[in-house]
Amino acid sequence: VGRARWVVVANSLAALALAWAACAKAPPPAAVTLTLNGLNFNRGAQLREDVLDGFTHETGIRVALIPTWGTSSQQHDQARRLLERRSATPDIFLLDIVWIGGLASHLLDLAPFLDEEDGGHLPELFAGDRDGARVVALPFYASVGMLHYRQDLLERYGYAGPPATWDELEAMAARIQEGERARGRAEFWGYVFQGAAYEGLTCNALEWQASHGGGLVLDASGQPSVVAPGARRSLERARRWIGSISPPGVLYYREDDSAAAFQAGRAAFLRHWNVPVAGPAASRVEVGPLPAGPSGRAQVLGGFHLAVSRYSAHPREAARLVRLLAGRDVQKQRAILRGFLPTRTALLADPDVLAAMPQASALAPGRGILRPSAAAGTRYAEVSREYHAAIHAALSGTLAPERALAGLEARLAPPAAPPPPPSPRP
Amino acid sequence: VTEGPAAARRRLAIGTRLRLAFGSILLLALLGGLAALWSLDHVRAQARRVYELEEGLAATLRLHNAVLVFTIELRRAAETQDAALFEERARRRLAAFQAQTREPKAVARRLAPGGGTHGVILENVLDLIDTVPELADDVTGLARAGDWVTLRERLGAQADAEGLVSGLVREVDREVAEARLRLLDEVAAGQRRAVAALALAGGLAFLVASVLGILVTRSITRPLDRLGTAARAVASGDFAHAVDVEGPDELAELGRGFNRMAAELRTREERLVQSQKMEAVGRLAGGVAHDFNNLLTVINGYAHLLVGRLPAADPNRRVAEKMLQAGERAADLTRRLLSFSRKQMVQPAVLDLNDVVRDAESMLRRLIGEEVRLRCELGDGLARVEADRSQIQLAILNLALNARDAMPAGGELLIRTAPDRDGVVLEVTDDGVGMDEETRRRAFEPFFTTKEPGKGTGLGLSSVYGIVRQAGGEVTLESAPGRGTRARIRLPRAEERAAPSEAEPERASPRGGETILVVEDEPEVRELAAHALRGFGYRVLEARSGEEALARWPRADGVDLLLTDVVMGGMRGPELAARMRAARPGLRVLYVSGYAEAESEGAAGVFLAKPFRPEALAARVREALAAPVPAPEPPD
Repeated sequence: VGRARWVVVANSLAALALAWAACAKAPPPAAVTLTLNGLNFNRGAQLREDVLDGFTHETGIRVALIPTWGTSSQQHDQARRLLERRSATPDIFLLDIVWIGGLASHLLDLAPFLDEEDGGHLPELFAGDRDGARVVALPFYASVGMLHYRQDLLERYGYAGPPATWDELEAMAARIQEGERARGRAEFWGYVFQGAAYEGLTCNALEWQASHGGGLVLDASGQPSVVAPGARRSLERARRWIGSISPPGVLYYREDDSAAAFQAGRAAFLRHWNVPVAGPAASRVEVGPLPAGPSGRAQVLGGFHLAVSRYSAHPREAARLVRLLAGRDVQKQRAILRGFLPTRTALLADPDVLAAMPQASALAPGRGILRPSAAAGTRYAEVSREYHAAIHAALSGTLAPERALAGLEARLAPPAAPPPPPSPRP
Repeated sequence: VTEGPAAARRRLAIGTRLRLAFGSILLLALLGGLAALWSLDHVRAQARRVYELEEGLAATLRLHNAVLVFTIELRRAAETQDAALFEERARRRLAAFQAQTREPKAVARRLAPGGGTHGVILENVLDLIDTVPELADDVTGLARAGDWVTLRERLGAQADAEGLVSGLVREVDREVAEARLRLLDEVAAGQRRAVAALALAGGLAFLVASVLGILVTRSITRPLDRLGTAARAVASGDFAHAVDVEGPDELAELGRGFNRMAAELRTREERLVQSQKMEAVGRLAGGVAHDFNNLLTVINGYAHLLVGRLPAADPNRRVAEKMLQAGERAADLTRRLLSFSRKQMVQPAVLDLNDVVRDAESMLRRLIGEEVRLRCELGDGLARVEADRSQIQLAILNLALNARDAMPAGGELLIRTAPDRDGVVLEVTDDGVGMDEETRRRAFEPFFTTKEPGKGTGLGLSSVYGIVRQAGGEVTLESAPGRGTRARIRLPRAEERAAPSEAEPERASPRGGETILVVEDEPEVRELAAHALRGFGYRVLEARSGEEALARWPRADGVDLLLTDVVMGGMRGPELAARMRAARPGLRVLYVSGYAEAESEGAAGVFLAKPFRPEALAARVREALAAPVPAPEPPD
């Protein structure tokens, strides 16, 4: 009887366990949902419509877009916080090219997922995605500094084409400004750009400086290189603009402020990126390369790149999406449809792309200049901040250009090598 | 279900079984309750998630509101187009904004790290809040530059940024809504799980309770059934029915007790039947022996007289002697029958059994012969017993003779005495052939013998039985074929009183000239007694009954001694004696009887057992005449 009883009890317990397991059965594994951080609402909605819906339909992988707002450097700060916290969310970051190098150690090596199809990006852009043998990001779209101008005004004042040099720009801007003000438009200015103390000023000032042979702030070894006479001359020129052809308020203009002034018909020339900027009603807006300095043209080449977090729970799926977005078809589609500049050399010469965005030809390989993120590495945010602060101080008249640049050189000097450890006492 | 001994040994006590069964059922119910509670744990986690999301949402809304208020205030300040005033207002508004957002920012920072997508959104909101001082710087600069158009546009663009915040809020709100839905799902699922867990545990507890109930109940009722069956069997007289129970539990103990009780009952019943049988046989034998005694008294008496009168040379004298011898043997047989039927006249005395054995030892050695070795182990501190010395010796003798006969090739005979519970035990043990169970059971029956015809009377053990029972004890036999026999006599402890003197009365001359009144309803015995007494010189008066004696000698004038039978048709001896003593106090009385009951008839005086020889009669008469005059009987 004893044995039979325990058999009954054991069977009962087994039945309980089975029933419990059936009852508490885990729900079927949820479909993979990738999270992508770095797009604002509008651009996110566009991307969803253009690419992501099809991707989800095809692969079953869902993509959640985390909306962001803020400047490039704020996005960098946030990405650094998340990655240093090893957060599994988001899986994919959309990052300005200048931040990739500094975050490389937290980013997934995409090389194992890549094949030949994934190559062919502009070498200067793709160089920023490499961390030794690792490939930590892929270019999504490029940005290049461009001159937007009022063709109708040029024609009104008898100019055949846009200014080829900064001198021409100054002259044309002054003349058009004078003429327009005479026509009763007291608020009209010749030239607007991004003069607020932020990353945009770094780009503008770098273009002025480079076109005057003033170097790229840091040389390849990370040493400051701003005291060259070109740098000073370019800064003196820009300072001259304030209050003459550019409004005093340009010192607080960002992209949207300058674009708004241009759109409102309060400016003849606008330095902006290669995105379409409309003019006021009944105007004609053209876009072309920036004017050249004594050392030629310099247009900052930027771009937004896609990187996968090393702490993602779905690295394979994330890499798959990144490859798709950086791929030829998506870039071509978005170039034609949305005006995003492709990063692939082949697409920059593609007739369909050029038909939709003629200015793409301005971005032949080697034409753009890069901010010194490669030389600065993880210091880039600091370098950029010091640089645009100094430029802003000079532009606003707080400091003479020469003194501002001298102080900058001192501050940009790389930190001294740490003193050798004290030798152990005998 | 059959149980091996191992299973029986494993079985637990009933109380333990019941406690275990109830305990396991309770445990199951408890586990079910715990499982139900545990299944609600998801609900709690999800509720916490909803709470955190809502907290985050509230913080986001407050931040959003602060941004909104800030930009609206700045736009109103911009309407003055006064740079100094605007700067002052912007500074104050910024301070107010920082104060307002401090707490919701802290909440958002706390929730952000663990929040997944939601957390990243919260961080984005925080980033947006962090741009507000830059915005204040920019618009202050624009105001100083007098660029009010751009300033207003920037603040308008900031309103667009508010749209972004609203979008973020919508995102968070959507997550909250989803989390709420999930919470509802979790609550429903948790309830289902809890109900399922409770139902399962309940069902299982019911199942286990049923199974355990049946098993435990059966493990109790089955032995009880067996006990009941056995009890009914025993009640109907089947003492051989034993209960088959094993194990350490209470019912097994009860069963063993029952079996012991049944065995005891069986033994007692056997003993009862045996003693009833012996009683019946004894009654029969006693009756026969009584009549025989009377006859033998006459035959032997006259034969004795005849032998005494015939000259030694007379050839008839030998004939008479042969007759007398046969008569004596017959008397001996009758005596042994009487001792079996416990109607032997006995003279109990307080004895030390060891003395009795020691006295008998030398005689026993002669009797049992050379081949049998006699060993006596006499215990110390024996209680005294009350018995007839010669009878006990006779019993020992009989047992010893039986033992000798059981050891034809020799062996050892052990006589052992020892204290017993409330008396003394005397054992006679041999290592002879032993006896089987049937023989053992019938061994005490009169005339039952295993010896060849003529070798034994079948009365040896019967008389042992009678002697021991008459002394208030009991005798049992232990034996098995080839294993020898042990006879065990138990005698009760004597009530403490002074041991009566066993001194032999003084041997007086059997002759005398006194007048003796002989009352005896058996004419032959009466005539024999009268004849013998006259031969010893006495004057003899004869009466056939008590009534006749009283009629003829109502005052017993001249009678020195009344010799009367105890048991007579009509008036009995003691009554007669009493009446005569009433008329003549100091009258000596001698009772004659074949029954041991004489004493219980209320007769006080000297006794003579039948059959008697003339010399014994004469000796007793002298003894009675020499006895002190009894105290007068109190009148009834």
